[in-house]
Amino acid sequence: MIGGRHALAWQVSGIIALTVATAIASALILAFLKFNQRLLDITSDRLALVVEEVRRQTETGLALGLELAELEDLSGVLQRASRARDVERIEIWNGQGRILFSTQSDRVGGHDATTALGPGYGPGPRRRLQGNKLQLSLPLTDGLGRMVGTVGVTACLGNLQRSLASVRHGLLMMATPVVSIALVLSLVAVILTLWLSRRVRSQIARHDGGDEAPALPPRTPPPAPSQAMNQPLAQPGRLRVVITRESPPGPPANRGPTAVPPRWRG
Amino acid sequence: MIRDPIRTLVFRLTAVTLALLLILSLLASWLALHQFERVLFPELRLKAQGVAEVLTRQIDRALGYGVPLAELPGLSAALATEVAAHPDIVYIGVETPDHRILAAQGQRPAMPRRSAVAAPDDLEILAPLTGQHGLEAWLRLSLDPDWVAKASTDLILEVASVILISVLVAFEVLLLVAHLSLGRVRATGTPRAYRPGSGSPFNLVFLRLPVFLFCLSEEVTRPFIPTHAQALAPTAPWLPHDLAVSLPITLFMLIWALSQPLGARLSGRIGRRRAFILAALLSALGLTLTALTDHLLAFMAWRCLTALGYGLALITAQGMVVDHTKGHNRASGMALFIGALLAAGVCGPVAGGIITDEAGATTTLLVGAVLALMAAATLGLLLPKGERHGPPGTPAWHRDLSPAIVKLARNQRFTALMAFSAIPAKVAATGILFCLIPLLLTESGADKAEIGRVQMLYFLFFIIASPLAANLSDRWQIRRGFIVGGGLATLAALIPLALVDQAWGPYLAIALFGAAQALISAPQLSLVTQIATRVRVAEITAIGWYRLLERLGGALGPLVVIGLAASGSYHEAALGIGLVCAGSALLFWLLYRRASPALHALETHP
Repeated sequence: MIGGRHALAWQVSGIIALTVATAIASALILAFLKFNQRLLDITSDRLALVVEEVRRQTETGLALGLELAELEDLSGVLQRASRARDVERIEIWNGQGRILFSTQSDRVGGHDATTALGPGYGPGPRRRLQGNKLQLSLPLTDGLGRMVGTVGVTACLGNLQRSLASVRHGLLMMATPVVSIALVLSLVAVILTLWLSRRVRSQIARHDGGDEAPALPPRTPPPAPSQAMNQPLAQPGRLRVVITRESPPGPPANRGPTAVPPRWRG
Repeated sequence: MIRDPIRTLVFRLTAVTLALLLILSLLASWLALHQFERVLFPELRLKAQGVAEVLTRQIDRALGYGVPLAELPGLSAALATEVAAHPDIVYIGVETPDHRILAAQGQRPAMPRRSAVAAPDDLEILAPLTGQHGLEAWLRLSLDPDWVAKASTDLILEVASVILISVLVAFEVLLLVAHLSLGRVRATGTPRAYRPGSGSPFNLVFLRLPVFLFCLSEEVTRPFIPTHAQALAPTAPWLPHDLAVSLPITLFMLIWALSQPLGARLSGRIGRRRAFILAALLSALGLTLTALTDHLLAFMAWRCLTALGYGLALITAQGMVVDHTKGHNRASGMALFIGALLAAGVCGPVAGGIITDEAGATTTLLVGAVLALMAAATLGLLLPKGERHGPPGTPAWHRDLSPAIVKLARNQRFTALMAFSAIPAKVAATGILFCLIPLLLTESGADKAEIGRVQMLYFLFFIIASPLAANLSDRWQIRRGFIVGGGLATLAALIPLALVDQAWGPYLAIALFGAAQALISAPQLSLVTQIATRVRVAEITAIGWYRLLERLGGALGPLVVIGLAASGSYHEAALGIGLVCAGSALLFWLLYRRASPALHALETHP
């Protein structure tokens, strides 16, 4: 056991250090992913305020009975709304996905099939993330409650990506010493625990496993499962009581009249 | 009582791991939160400025029409809507220039604390409200200084889950390493010469890690199987939607139950080692094919294949325990096996939920397949190759099946126990835990990690309550009382799920449900063995029938739950299942009491 003591210490230290390091790394990765999601949600909420404001003003015009394409003062509304941080452009599409108004004038008249109103288009907001571009859109309804178009804001998440990169860098810088501390602490803690448990270890060296019987190989080959399990009167508890109380030591075949009746034997 | 020194040492080392993990995770989380706050607060402030702009524009428009601010209708309602919509904004008020409050919603932080990342001024936004005569009032918005910490509850719970999983995995690996180390010394006296699987006698602890990994491969899928089936339901429009959701779990349970006799026969014929490896490979194949399919019928077919592998592997592992134990140590051997199962039950759902949230259900299923392959590989390495085969065609409890079940079925107590306790309990366990909880929580907007955490509580409380229930029911000799109590406790446990519409409701309900089921489990097993003795059927045969019948009940669970939910709601289905369990428990009490014990002569004259 002495020879195995150092090997055991190193193996156990390695396992614990690996477990602790992996757990901390996993926790940090999870934390970063959650933070990423949270930051994106906050940015989406902020941009949703912009879309909502444009929708409200557009629907006020539509409620007066005007057609979407006739709302000429929308250009000014869009320009004012597009001053919000990160906003790249704001557009209004008709039901077929044609751009009627845009803060980027060269895009007016263009077509975007993804914004076309179809049977599966619900009344709620839509969020689409492609690379570092986030698009939020809301359907527009006229005074009769019919969906007649869509308003959408496209934002560039460059600032967000830079913030994320800085946080990622900060976490990496932080994780390296924490994981190193974890490795050293694990080693020290295991050596200390093994040293404090030297009585237990000497027990292990002497003792063949304590009362944890399944840990031990059986001394005689166990009966075949079918034999052990299918005896109609196989009552291990009772048999043991009979043997310990009344049988002389020795193999069952040599026992006297109080031994297990032949019909009970496997 | 002599304690196993290896286990003592492993427990100490696991405690050390836990302590290290807690200290270092706390440190890492605190440092990470500090990093996040630095970026989150400016974003929150920007958003609050957006809210302030929207409100200012609306109020200014009214003021522009000459409406006095004090008489502006709907001002408080508008402020209340914004406070309710943005949990990071705790207060919005309209104040006159001489600081008189005209309208306010929420609680303004009395003294904004100076946070490490935000000065008190950063936590408040003041916007001027201007009318025809210039400045008329101020709009004040206050950010919640503790919002980041409050919003991190989810994160804290996930870190705690990671710690729990790590500790359990570390325990399993440490136990194996300690036994391997001891095995080397025993084999040759020198640590280097020992190799597991080289013809040395088999140590049952070596079975624990493969069983743990194998069960984990299935447990990781628990949080999303019904919702995944729900998503695939449109690919089989002819199948009623409710059936499409419940059928994959029902088929899985059914195939698992029916594969038990087959598994016992197969492992008896080709050997336990080969049978387990084959079953694990089958399960890995099933999980991989499930991951790759996007059609409901194929999904169900591959789930059946996975169930076949799962059932074969588990019955083979139980066969190994039986092979290598005798009457006096079989209970300890089974405890090792069940310990691995329960540990996987704790780790699997929560790990699966986290992976599904971050990488999707397909990745989780593939992770499950990898775990099944790892289980096969570890068993291949750890189990000796030349292990003895069971005699061909003599499965563990299958040989005297028909006479045994006739004898058991004639015993009214056994029938009452099965019909009014074992089957209803399993209907509840499968229906509630694997079917209703994922659907109910998904409906209320929970993510998969949260579903996994709730499912984990069942196993955690089962582990805590089970030994206590077993000891007390044995000591007081009131097993029937425990079974009836467990049935009634199931109803009480499910009441928070049915009636409380709070986020903590499912957590409390499932924790209590796990404890209630633990009250039933061990006493049921004891009664089965007692009845087996009385009707002269081998204990293991009676237990085999008991397990088969309760698993068939498990197959019914999702159908019953979805049937109840279809005629009401998920909440009503939970209550319905609780009432079924409580009613069955009372019926069991009445019938078991009346039924003749049919004592054998030996019982009365020991």
